[in-house]
Amino acid sequence: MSPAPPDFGGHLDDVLSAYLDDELAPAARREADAHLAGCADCRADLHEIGSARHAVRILPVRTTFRPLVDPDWEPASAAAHRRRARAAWALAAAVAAAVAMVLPQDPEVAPSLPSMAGSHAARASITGDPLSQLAPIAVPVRFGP
Amino acid sequence: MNGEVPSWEAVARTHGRFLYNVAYRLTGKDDDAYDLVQEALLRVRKGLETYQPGSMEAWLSRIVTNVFLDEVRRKRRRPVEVMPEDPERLLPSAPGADEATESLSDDVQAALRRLPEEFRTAVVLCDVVGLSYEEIADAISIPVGTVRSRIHRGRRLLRAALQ
Repeated sequence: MSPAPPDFGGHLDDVLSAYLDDELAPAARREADAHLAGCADCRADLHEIGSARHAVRILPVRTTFRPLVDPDWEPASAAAHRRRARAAWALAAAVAAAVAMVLPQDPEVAPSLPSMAGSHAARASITGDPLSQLAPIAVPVRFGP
Repeated sequence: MNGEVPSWEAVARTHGRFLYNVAYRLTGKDDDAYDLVQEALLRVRKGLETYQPGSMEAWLSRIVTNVFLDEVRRKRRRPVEVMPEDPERLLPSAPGADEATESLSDDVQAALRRLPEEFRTAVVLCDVVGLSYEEIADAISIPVGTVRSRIHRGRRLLRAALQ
């Protein structure tokens, strides 16, 4: 005895999508065909659902010009190489800083311009040098007689 | 990794276009699609060791769809506050001046984007990717009967939107 045909209980409804997608077992498909042959509503519904299905299936492939692979990404081996290089540079910088701290430093070797001006002004103030204290920033230019 | 499993870079190069198309049909926006692909590729990198040689596109569809649905669930838990001065967010389906000459495919995409995410996902996996109901059920962990129902309801809503 063959299994009882599926009972769709009224109209086909979501069986229609399965019908269109060829997702029905042979017995269910035969039953759906029989129902469709006698049901104008379901035939109209099948047409409507088929139109929506077709509209999505013919959508063009969407593309982008942006690179999908992250440009910052690199293979693990390259990342390890970069980490080793960074560590070597950090070590070299630490050694240089340590050497700089050990070497004697002479602040008078290359004083900055502001400190030179500051020390000169301080000396001028103490010694009362009027030329230094009263020297104009710029000499006015006079025209005519 | 054995010789049958491609490198992550090879997957990104070979299937990037496919991933982007699926991501765009799911999100409906280029920026969102790009972000979705980036996140999906990150999961591909992490999961490539466990990939069983077979249908690469089905596997990638599963990943990109689940990234999308995870994001949908995250947004539902913490809905983004809509700013009044951002009309695009308030009225996502309102046609703008640039859309006056939009093609039929733009209309279809706009209708697709207005579908509830669960219906949209089922429709995209079926009609864009071409997965079977069983593959869709497996990809998003729902029964085959639910897949059939979601696809059908999604198509019915699409048809109503396009009329």
